[in-house]
Amino acid sequence: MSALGAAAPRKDADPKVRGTAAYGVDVSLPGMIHGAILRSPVAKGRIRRTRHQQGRIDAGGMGGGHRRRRPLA
Amino acid sequence: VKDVQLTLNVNGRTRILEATPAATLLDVLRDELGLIGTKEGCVEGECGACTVLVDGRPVDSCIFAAHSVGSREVTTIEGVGAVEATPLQQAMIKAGAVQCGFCTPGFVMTLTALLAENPSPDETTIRRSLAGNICRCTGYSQIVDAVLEVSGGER
Repeated sequence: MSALGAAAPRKDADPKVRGTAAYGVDVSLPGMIHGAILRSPVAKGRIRRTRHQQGRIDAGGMGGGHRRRRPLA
Repeated sequence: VKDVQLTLNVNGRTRILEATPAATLLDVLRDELGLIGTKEGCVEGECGACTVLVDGRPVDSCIFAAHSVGSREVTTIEGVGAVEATPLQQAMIKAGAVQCGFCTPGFVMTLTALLAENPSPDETTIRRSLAGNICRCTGYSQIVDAVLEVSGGER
């Protein structure tokens, strides 16, 4: 039980201090689309419709193209 | 809006690319040059996750216009410890100064600039220099410990 009470070095610390650790937001795969969960802006509100266009979703996600854009919500 | 050609000196390399006139340095680094070690946090110059050096001075690249960089030298986290971790980075690992790590590249850039200017800062100077970097895991003490370790200072 020599590990108990001992400070263990983090295995991911080196890539993190050198900026090589990949986070979810850093991953971009071919054909990848972006999604966002939209919730009612008021408590206990009932969603009747949304105003985003289906066509934009079909065209390859909210941003389209290869560049990452800010999500709509 | 049409893209405009842009020449940037990044980590010792000259890069030529196109970007909209409003593109931020962060946009260009991450989306055009693929230098994704620089992180996008608040996108309003508060959190410091996007910190890079422009002629050795830390700036928030999320609110720094790419076209205003001119001929100045940009250094990103990819340009610090590219082959192996620098003494500061090694001290951060050893001190437990890394948790989720999302803020870490920004902290490394700010502290690299500090140590270049002042190799032996005291604790107050270190903490003041970090006023523009926020760590939501809140591991500030270990980060300060790491700098003191390389600067030979005392708490």
